[in-house]
Amino acid sequence: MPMEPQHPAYNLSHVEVVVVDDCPIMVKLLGMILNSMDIKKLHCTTDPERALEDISKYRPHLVITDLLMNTIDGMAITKAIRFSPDEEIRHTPIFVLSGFTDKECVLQARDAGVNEVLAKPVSTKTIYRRICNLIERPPNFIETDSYFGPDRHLPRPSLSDSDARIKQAVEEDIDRIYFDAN
Amino acid sequence: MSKTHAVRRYAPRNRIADCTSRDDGLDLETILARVKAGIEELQQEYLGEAHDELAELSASVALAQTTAGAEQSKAIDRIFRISHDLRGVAGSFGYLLVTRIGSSLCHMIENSGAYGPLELAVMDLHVGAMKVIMSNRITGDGNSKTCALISGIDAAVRKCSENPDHPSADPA
Repeated sequence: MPMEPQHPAYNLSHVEVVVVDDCPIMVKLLGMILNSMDIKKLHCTTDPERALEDISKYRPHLVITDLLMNTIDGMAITKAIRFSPDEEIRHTPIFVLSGFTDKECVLQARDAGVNEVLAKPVSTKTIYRRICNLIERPPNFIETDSYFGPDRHLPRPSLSDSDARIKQAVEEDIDRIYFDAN
Repeated sequence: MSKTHAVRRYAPRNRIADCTSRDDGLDLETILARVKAGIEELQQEYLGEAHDELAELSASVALAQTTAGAEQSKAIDRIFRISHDLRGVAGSFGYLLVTRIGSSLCHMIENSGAYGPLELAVMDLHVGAMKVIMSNRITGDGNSKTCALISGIDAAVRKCSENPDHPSADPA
């Protein structure tokens, strides 16, 4: 069994989060989970349009959105963030919650520029660890003609950037992932 | 050989790290204990909402059974949305079987382009099973009786997919 990663007890009381899900009890549940992590600046709503307003108004550190919603879905919220003229908003980390975590759904969300696709039912441990990962290992951003968002490579902590061959391999990976695939 | 493309790769400001300090917050165990207590507080509200959603689900299946065309499609869409919401939330409150049955119903709708009497009866079976689970407050993986219930649902779904009279079956 792989060891679960241990994180320091981060003080998250100044972290600001916008949460949107059109299911009211889900919004309450997510709010309660985040509040249990001592995240106090929470803007939770069932209305995606209100969420977009909150994102512009508060410039949160994190957005958590449901994927399937009636009016504006999680993909549209992701695109609105990634295409925002405001630089801070454009780089906001986005977690998408979805009951659909098949490969196609995950790839679509990734290509829209989300940071994480989290499966429903939500797990407190998973949300907490993903937030810790953002603090400890924030993803680089990639900008190409066809993609803007977090680097979709898996982190390779064991590789040395000084190794020219590895650098070349990473560049070839970028070609493959960001161009051949699109 | 690497091609030349305009790729900008950079590290934006880590705003979330900037407003976070180490070692003076809550550890994971404390967080999990707080969430457990919070779920207990939300439990009654959840049960009320699940009851209302299951009633709406029943009504939508009944509507789908008595309509056709656009009206039936609308009812099926509603069935999908409600079962999708039910499965997404139920597991967080311990009702893992509702998540399991709700997923089965969603997959069945996703994989079926048309809905005849058999498909609609199997949808109704899903709704009935979720009602049994919720009204008996069966949390976790259930018991031998619920195992039989799940097996029965799986068998019914299989029967639907093999149904030669399926409305979308190729007449050739």
